[in-house]
Amino acid sequence: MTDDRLGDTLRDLLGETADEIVPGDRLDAIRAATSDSGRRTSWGWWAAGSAGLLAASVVTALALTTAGPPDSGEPDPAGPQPTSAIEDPSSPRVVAVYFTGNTPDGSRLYREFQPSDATESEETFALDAALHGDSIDPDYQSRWPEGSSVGAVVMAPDLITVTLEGDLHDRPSGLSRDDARLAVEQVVRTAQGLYGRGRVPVRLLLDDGPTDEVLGVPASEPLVVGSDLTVLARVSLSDPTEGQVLDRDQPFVVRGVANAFDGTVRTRLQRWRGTDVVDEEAVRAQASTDRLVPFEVTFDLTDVAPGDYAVVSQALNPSGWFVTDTRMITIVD
Amino acid sequence: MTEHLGLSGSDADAAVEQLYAAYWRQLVRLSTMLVRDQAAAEDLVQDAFVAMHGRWSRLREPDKALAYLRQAVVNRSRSALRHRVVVDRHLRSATPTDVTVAGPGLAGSRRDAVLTALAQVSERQREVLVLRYYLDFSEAQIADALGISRGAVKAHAHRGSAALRDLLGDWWEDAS
Repeated sequence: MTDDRLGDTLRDLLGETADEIVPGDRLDAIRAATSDSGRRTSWGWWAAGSAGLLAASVVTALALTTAGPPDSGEPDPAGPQPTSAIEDPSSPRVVAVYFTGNTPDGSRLYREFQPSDATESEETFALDAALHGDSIDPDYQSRWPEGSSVGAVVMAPDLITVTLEGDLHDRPSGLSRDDARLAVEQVVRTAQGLYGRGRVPVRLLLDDGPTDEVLGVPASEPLVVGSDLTVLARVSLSDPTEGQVLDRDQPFVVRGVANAFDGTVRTRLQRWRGTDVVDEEAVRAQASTDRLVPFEVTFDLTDVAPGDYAVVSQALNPSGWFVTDTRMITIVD
Repeated sequence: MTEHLGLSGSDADAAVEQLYAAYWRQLVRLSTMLVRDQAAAEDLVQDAFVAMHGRWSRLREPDKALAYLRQAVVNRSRSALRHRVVVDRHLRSATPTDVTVAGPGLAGSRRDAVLTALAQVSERQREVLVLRYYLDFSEAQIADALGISRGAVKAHAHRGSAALRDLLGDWWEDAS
């Protein structure tokens, strides 16, 4: 076959393949992200939204201890506002979803903020994302069996009830006991995060009925979360989000939660798939309790060449290993 | 911090609207052929439009904006794919899969066969083939977009199309 004929065939094949791809409409999403309020970065509203959620979790803890009236579950009005979300009621709210990831301590949960899909409830969106492993960061997974899904979710001040659907009573072969427990924690913590009122016990139902076990984990009683340090990765990034595009004229703020054994969380910016570290910042992140505490560092990108970079935050564990969380970002002129 | 953008804000908005109307579908299709995942493609093309809007004050002209969009989509597709390789490797080691492409008459469409075959060739070959035969870029344009020499473009196109023909087997015969 001559190169010309080869080319013609390729043109036909690729043209036909392309024609069968029917892109969805994203014009509204692009308009929302490029509106005045969302102009700071492509994900400006999102970054602001997750900061708001962090603030909200602090407020919620206080509300619980003073037994104040339940708040709306919305981000703290005094904190940074996800303005575009407020101006446009159809814009999605940012939700926190827990996923499993590998750490030197074994499998642990990482928290990822995602804009919920306006076509379904936040509860369904977030819990299904957790069950299906629909993370933005490809380093995260879910150990829930294929076919798992979430049904009704009922939230009340003293009990959250989550109905799960699927063949989920027994622990599947191939899933260790620890991983099954972690999978259950994933749902419990994601549900608590959605409700936003602290560590409310979570009751799991299977296909609308009570169950003695979920994935082989005892579940007759409402579940409470385990110790953060035995369940969560010692460091988890909130901002940036995976794939975020950043303008190098703007200060770049990295936020997350951590509990470093030596008290210091280190965040570095390095070339994607390279070892060339552009900048590194260290900040205190240690709690005397088993909790993870928020940290924040700011990078000046003025002298950083445009391109793809990895943001790597790391926290030491007691065995001397670094637990890390990584995001890929793109810096543009 | 956004004051200087305000001046060109309406221009940038209009540019986004026009370029979206004209090129959104093409760019998503381009990216889908590169990353073989339409949802991921839509996300990254959306991001590229947002990034283009942000730097409109430096682009100023639709031609430059389109060139920027295409470049951004190719670069972002490459990044997305590289990042996914780690995950794919885990999946592959867990469930060994047959990488041959199903022929006509078997389950699956020609579209799936083409996307699967594209995923099997090297990154550069895939980019060159899609730019050459879907966007009808010249060798010089491809060399420019990918930052490689024209000789390299020629070599990747040659090897890539031969590889694709072998991978597609009966599908290829059907089309030619």
